[in-house]
Amino acid sequence: MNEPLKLKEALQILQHQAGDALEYSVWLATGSTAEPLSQFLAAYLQRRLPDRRVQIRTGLFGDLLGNVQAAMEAPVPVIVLLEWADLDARLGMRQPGGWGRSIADDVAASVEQKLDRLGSLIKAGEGGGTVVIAGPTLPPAPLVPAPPWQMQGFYAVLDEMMARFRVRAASLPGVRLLNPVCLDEIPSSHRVDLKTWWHAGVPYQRAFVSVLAEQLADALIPPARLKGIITDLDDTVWAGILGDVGPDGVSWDLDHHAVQHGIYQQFLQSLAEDGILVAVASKNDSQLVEQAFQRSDLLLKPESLFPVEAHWSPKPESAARILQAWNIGEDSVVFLDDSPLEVATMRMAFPKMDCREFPVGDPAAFMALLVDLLSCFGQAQRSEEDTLRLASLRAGSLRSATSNGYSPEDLLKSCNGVLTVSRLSVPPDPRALELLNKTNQFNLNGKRQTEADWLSYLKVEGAAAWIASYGDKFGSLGKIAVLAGRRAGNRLEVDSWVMSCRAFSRRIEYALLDYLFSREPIEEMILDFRATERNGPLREFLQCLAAEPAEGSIHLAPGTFASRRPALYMSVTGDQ
Amino acid sequence: MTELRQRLVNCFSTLFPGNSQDRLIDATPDSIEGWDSTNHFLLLQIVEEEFGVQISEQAGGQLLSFAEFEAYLSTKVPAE
Repeated sequence: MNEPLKLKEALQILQHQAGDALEYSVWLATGSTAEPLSQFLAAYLQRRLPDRRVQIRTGLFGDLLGNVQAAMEAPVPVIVLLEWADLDARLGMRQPGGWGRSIADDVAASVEQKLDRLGSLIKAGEGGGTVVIAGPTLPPAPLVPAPPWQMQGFYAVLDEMMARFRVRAASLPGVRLLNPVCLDEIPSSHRVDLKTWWHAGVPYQRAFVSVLAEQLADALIPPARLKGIITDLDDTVWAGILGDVGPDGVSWDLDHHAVQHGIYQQFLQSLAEDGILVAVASKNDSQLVEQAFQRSDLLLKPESLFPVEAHWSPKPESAARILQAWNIGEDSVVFLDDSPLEVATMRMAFPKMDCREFPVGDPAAFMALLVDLLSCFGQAQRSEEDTLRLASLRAGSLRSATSNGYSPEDLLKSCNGVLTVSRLSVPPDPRALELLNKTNQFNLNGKRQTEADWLSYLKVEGAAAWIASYGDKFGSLGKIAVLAGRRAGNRLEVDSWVMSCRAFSRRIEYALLDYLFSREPIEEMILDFRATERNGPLREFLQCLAAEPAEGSIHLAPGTFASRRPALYMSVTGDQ
Repeated sequence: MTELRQRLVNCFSTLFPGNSQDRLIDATPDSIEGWDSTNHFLLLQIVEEEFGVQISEQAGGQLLSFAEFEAYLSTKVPAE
């Protein structure tokens, strides 16, 4: 974990903003003085978006609701930072307005009214883009003189109101709540700064502001999520060496002092259910592993594991096969093993893989590992595609197996593939942006977009975008491709085109272009191709279609496309 | 140039980039563009952070030039 930025460092980052870079604006709605939070926030966002010029918009001091209203009307992401003092100044430490039990009901009523209004303002902006809500990060003032150890009823009422507000807000599309737990390591004595609160309207200590700003930046632009875990079995998924103690001798419960492994199993299972790929690389007897997987008390379901590499070959060989089966790069994967030697070996073979030692008998390190893995793999919501991922990979494996002795043409003919193409509207299906930002191999130019960029793009006159879903007799792949461009007369200038690697080898890319040429009035498509380190599959595709070397703008006419595309066997449906 | 002065110049330079060292050493709110109340607050924060000192509200309100900052810090920061 990086050290929080100091204010000087934050300002130095902002000094190096490129003046001609595209602006990325964020509205910071707070009732406090926005500095230095706005500088810290801008710096953390700037580190995430080095090609952009981050700007933070702020409003009037002491007017949280007015600032939220203005923010929700702006076409940019919004951060709402609320404190108890914004809901009633008597809950703060800056404006004496009377304390005591006699006014508690009046304060509670005021808080409820303000929270209702705040909820309405946020709901009114529903669907306009991302809204991050944080706070309160400071405790309410000791308005009722209860001893510090006592949760006085008045404060329980405040908490209940805040919880109801959060539940309502969390149900709105685009709204993300900052988890208060992520700040729990900082006690309130290290958060509040009465000197700057009284003097400048800044209630926070500087170091706390930096930590808070980083969390807000994470909530607004989450780090890229990894895709898979390769795990060992012995002394990892279970306690004991399978070859020594047999399938009934391995354990993962309290009675055998092995509950750590049970917790790990259920953790992996929860990730698998959220679409994270989980594979096994174990030096073991494969038959014994199969027998162990028959145990009914396993918390990690064997059907959640794919592929299972259980044999005596070196683990890097297993990892290479697993990556091939998953069709993803080593930098999207975590490898876990209790053996430091295996971890070091894997790290040498795959330098970009996140290789970690599984901490046996060290509960604190184990807890830290789980939190770290949540950072790598956690996501706000599970999509339909997440639930389909493993099934489609297994089906892909089945396709390969059943294709032995058949020509690709025979196989494709017998797939009964169906491609469904839908025009994207505003607000767009969130899966589209997810695909644009996580797809590497079939990606026209590697451009990544923030949610605000994407929304702005779709609102430009002439903008058009499509999302495609695919299914065949081997199962559904869900939504797997997005193409976005701008119309200029009868031309379509394609700025973005991505397709999930799970959808390769089915000619879906050809079918999508065929659909657009046949259904849309397009006489020429201009593809803004840029080679990246990872988009070789798209480059090869373009080389099949375009006579000239595939670099820069690729011009494609319907006639040329029709003469060069292979036979297509899937049926294609559209929503227009 | 003393170490204290150099560190203080760096603080000023972070907040008021584009000014020469000589100009920063002579800086007052009137001579430096952007030295308003907000940046004065940020300047106090940067100086506190850099020198590990707590500047009281009263003292902070009176530090209205580079020279005053330097004189104040020379009484608070042990000489190297």
